[in-house]
Amino acid sequence: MTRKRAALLAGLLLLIAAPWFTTGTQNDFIGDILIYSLFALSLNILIGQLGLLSFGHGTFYGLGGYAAAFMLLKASHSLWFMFAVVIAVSALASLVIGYFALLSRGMAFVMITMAISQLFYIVAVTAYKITGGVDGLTSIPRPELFPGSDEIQWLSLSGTTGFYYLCLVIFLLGLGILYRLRRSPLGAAFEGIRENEERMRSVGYPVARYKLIGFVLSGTLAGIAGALSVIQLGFAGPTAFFWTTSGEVILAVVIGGASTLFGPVIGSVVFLSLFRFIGQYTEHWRLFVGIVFVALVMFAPGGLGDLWRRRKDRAAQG
Amino acid sequence: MALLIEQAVNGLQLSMLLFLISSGLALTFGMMQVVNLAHGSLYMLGAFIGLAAHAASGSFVLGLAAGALATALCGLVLEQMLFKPLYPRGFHAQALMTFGLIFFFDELVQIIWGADIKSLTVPAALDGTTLIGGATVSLYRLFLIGCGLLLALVLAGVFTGTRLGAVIRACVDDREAAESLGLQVPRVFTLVFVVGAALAGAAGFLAVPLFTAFTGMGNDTLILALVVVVLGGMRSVLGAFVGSLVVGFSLSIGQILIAGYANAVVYVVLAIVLLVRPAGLIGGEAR
Repeated sequence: MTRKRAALLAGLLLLIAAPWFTTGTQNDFIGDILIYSLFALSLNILIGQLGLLSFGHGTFYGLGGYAAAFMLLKASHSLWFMFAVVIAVSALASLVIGYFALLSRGMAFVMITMAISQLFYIVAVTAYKITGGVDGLTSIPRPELFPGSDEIQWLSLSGTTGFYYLCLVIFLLGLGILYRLRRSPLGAAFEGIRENEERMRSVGYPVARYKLIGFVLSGTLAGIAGALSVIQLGFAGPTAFFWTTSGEVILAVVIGGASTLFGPVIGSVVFLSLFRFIGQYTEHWRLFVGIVFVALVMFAPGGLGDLWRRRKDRAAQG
Repeated sequence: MALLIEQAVNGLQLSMLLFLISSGLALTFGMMQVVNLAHGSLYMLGAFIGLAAHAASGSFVLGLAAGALATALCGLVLEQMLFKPLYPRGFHAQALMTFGLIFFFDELVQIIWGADIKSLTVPAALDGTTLIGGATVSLYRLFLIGCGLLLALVLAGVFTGTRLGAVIRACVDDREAAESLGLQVPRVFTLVFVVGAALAGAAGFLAVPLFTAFTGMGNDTLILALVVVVLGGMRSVLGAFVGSLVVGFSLSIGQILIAGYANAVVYVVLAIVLLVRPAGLIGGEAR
């Protein structure tokens, strides 16, 4: 098998085996990376494939989170029911929001997505009786795989390990979906739209519909990621809706590289690791991220993934 | 009647403060069509540096001057090193780069000045209230209204009545034609950017007695400034003035009627305006 496949397989095995050689918090951290990667991967359908810079992707991350919170707090503890609702809510929201947002292009699209995100932030903060306001919703219980029946201990989602595997499974599913998407005619159409929208339209592609499909797919995955995040923390708050949250996930995508499948994953690893590890030495890690990001945009807009590919190309030539 | 005057003053003061804050963005984003999400960071820098100068000297005027000059200098450095290379690369790159700057400046401010919320007492000359038509009005708010109106007059005067204004408008409207006429477009852009930065910094300092100064204060303001500029049609400072009035009064009236949701109205209006102009804001024409 190729080196790349071997590396991926090794990575997969490591991820599967993680709970055996990591501590609880380390395991949680890997889970956080998986969740955030899913968030970043979902955004990359818009940024990397369709070429749409959405500064409001946190909207769906937040909506998925709050949907999960409401379900677990008020309705049932069933994982399946919760996910059904999360997917429905995210898909519907991204359909409606996407329809209107995609009516605009370029910088206007950036700003509309930003405005919509802020709108949700204000509602989330102001409607504190429903949403818990600035403090959010707390003590959210973990969902159950088999609601009602006696818990099978090792399948329990209440502990770190069980939930970690849930995240891993969903992450792999998401990755798989995106992998297939990139290789599908739809994915090719997305890239075509990114490269030259007018030409795609003149050739007969229903560009607006494709963009909306991409938006809905993207928003739904983000909602799922948001739900996982809320379950992980047991807490849902309005900061997901603040536009800087959307900016941060853009950072993750661009750092890792928007043009590759794993770019957003790499970016998420870098971003969250910086947070955690540099965060131990200095709480001012944001300073470095800011500098790195500015430098990336100026000199390596393709992100780390692109830098890596360029190094490989140069090595191949030399 | 007194209530009406109070509301009018409130709305006007908020509008003028918004104008002060967004005038810089109107110049860079509206006229030059350069995306600068770090406009809020410049606003924040002006507040903090101005506060430091004020703390050192005890003078409000010195604080204001220091804030404005420091951000002007900062704007100069940023424009030359970071923005200039990105002008041809478009708004995508500019938006991303300036977002990175937000991270950097938010943290820088926190490192230098700590995470506390800083406030500023109004200078003695402007402290106190006065009676207008039976309504009690804060002098400082009147001062802000005066500043905003003065700025509007100065900017309008420069753009319509001076050669510099004409030169700026020429460079912004049609870069190539301006260059072929011999105008130093890069220098003009730098000037506009630096002035925009200085205005942001000054507004930051002036706003402290009302809104205090804290890390990340620019992030809330940026969005409002963006709304104002977009509402105003992007192309002129007059437009930003009108936009400020609309947003300022919507917010102050909204706060009476729908309390916390008042801010939401602003974003709804923004979304509607953006939808009505689906072709986008940069470039003007439909892509």
